[in-house]
Amino acid sequence: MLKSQDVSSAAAGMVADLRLRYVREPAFLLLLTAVATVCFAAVSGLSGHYHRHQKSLGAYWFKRGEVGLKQQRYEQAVSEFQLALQYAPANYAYQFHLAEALVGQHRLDEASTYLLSLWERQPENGHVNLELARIAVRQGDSRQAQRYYHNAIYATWPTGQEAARRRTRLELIGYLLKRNLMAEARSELIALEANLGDDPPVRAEVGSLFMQAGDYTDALAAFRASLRSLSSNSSAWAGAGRAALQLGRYRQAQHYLHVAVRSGSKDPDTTSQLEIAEWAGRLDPFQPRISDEQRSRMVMEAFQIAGARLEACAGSADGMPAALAQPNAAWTAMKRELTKRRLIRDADLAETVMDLIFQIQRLSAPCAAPGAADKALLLIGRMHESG
Amino acid sequence: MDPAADETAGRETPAPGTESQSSRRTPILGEESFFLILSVFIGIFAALAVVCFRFAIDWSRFALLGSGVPSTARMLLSPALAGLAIAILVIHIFPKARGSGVNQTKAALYIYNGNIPLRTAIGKFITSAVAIGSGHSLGPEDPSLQIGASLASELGRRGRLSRDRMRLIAPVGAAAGLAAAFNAPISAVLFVIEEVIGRWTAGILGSVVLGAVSSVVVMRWFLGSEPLFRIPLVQLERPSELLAYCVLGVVGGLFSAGFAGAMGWLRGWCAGLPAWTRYIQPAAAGLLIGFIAVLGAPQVMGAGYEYIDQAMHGRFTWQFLAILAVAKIIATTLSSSTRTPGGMFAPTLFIGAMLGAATGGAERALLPHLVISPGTYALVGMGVLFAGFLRAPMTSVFMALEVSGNYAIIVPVIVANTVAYVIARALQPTPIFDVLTRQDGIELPSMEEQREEDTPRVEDAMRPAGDRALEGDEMLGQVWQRTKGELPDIVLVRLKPAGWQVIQKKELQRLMQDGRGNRRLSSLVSGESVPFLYPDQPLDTYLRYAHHWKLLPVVNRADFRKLEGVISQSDVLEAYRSFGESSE
Repeated sequence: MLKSQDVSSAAAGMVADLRLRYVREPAFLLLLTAVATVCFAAVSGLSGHYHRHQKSLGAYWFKRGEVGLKQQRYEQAVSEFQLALQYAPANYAYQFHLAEALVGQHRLDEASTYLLSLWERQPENGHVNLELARIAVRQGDSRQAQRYYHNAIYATWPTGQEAARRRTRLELIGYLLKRNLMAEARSELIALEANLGDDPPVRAEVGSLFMQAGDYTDALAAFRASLRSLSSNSSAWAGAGRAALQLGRYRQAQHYLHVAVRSGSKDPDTTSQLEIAEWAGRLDPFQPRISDEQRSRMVMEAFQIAGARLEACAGSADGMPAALAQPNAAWTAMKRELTKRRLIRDADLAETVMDLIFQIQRLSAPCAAPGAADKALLLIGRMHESG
Repeated sequence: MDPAADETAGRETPAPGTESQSSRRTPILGEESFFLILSVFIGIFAALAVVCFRFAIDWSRFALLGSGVPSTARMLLSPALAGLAIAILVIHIFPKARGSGVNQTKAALYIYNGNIPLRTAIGKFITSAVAIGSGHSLGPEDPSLQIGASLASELGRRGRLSRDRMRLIAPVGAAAGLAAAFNAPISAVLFVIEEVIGRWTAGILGSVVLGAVSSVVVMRWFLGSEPLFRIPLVQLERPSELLAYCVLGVVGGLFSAGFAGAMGWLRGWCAGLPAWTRYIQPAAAGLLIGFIAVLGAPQVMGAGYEYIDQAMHGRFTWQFLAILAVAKIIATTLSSSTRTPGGMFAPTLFIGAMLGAATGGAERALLPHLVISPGTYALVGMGVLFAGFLRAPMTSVFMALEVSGNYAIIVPVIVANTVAYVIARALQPTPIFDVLTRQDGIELPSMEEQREEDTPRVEDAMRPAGDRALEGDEMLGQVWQRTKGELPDIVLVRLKPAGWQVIQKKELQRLMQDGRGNRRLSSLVSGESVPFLYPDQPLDTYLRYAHHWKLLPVVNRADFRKLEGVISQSDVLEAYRSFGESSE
């Protein structure tokens, strides 16, 4: 009897142990998996509702911020964009607009951190790179500015990619010119010109930028290309005239500037440039294919203009500057013996006289405003010295 | 008993499913593997709860403060009315939901065998969400920690874990909850090990890490992986800037001590008020916080992470940042001292960030060449307060590192945190968590005190061997003649090539009388070898052998044949007696 009880209790123990080993634990883990799945699904539903609500609140405050930004009420816009971001912290557009509003408020460091976090997410985004470049410009960081401008030029733009890239490059060129980085500006202009479409005003604008960068040959080419497509553009004619003048092509310059004036250019500078071009053509003794007679006549006339310049300085309120005393004495000494014949006989004399004239013109700039003839002589001097 | 002390002192009965013997479980997985799998589930459930908790806080804020900038009336009334409702809830329905949650989790570990009722988690969830959403100066991290611990405890009970495992399961849940709330698994793991468990073992670390990682993964699934704040560019160009960070450490240490002192005093004072005032204490705190907000510092309401972000990016002047730091200290002291449910982590980070940015800004104004980026000071300042106020120095360093994701910050953080920690410890010797538990009438082990505890070691009790150690190849007769029979009651005999045996004096005497004086000692001893100790081992190591061996050799670790001394039961007792006297 006792023996059978022992057997049955041992069997019960074994069953309990087997249940523990093979049933309870796996069942518990299965149950946990099931509960976790159900809870996950429930929280997903809740999360969907929560995120929709957050999204709608974000959109509401973003719209208000956009209105503020358009009206340049930056402080309000910043506050509203920040609220929008509270509800959608990862939203790209919200962060970008907040950064723009912060730039408007001159909070550049803060704007920069927002933009940098956007940049990390999309380094190829043109808008972000352009804004970062503008901030770097305002912070005086030329290296970063150029880096972000270049990023923006080669970045992707959602719409109007080519136009956006062109605008960005033009902005970069403007910046480089302002910083007096002429070589870099010229490189950018050449790259820009290569990708330029047949857009006469843009070509004319490029011509002006080449002029600012001191690249008159390319400037003239750009103006001429613009004129080929649109010959009625008086500013392009004027630009071409200026470029030709700087290149010493006085006849060409006179032609372009004449056309500019005729075609209704109201710019007084065009007229004065035309006058300078005419004087330069009349006074430049270094022009090719002119006779000795003509050259000596030009030197003599320039010499007289320099004398008049000295007289004007002597008669000015402040009197003749001390720096002009020696050139004045040299001019007076030379006047006595300078003749056309001597100039024809002695080729070096013309050179010496012209050097004196250029010196007088340069040094007399502070005592009296130069006239068109004086400006023409200054231009000739500059061109002669630069070879 | 003080009803307020129920917060941590409530005696929780062990759940029926809890096994008292670890040997009861003999499952197919093995308890350790089962515990690790359970840790993953704990992480998942804790994260789901924390995600819902975040939703609840936001919905509560929309309902109470609105979705935009709150009006004056809302700023004044919301925290006050919410405080009233919370007081009723915690007094009548969820008495254990009061306070931050860190100490309650520690109490579960050390007092209640890991049991935290699920009701506590529910209460904490509801009351903290309303409190934080209404603008009380509290954060969601510590409640998340307790919610995670409570869920873990529930799973442990259902899984019929052994008592030892049950004790460890609450910290696993705590780490999971904290990791999800803070989106920083490393800091969460370190905080729980540094402040809750207080020790490192591979078993604990594995479970805690699994829980924290699975929790963060689930949390990011729902809430994304965006950091809590955008990190400014961190740079330390000149080593001399470390001086500026030292100044931040000093300021942080002083403020930490002041903050802890104020909280300790006001909480004690509030606890001493008549019992009926507990209905209105959170409301009064809410009203005062509303006043602070209306007076020009609405940033102090709620957790304030968005303002930490702004402080890091130069949004405020350093003077205003200093005002915000002080205002937040006042607001947090009010909320916490009235035992409004909610955490102290976020306010601590807020105060640290404001203080750091203010100090950096002021230093830059005074010494522009020294301070490069004041935003970085906000980041370092968070770590400084964490080290000085919460007294978690290691977590504070890793938190700054984890949040910034930039290794360049490590040196300034270590420098500033160390300075702050040392100053705060000198001015406020008892850490804030210990002050709070002692006010509740509970004596939980202080992790800082444990870390700093001077443990007596074997070398403190051992004494020179003298005649207590004899060489085994010496003849008994020679020994007897040399010592004139004046030997201690028990002696050790060194055997060759290694090992020790023990023999009693009366046994040696009997052997002499039996005429065995011409025998080597090594041939006269027999039985088990005597275990030996090293001088640097804790003194209580001796107690493992005390029942069997009355005298033990202490040997050199580099050369275990070299005897450094011997140690006996009386030596140990004497050492403990003098250690106790010096401690007093």
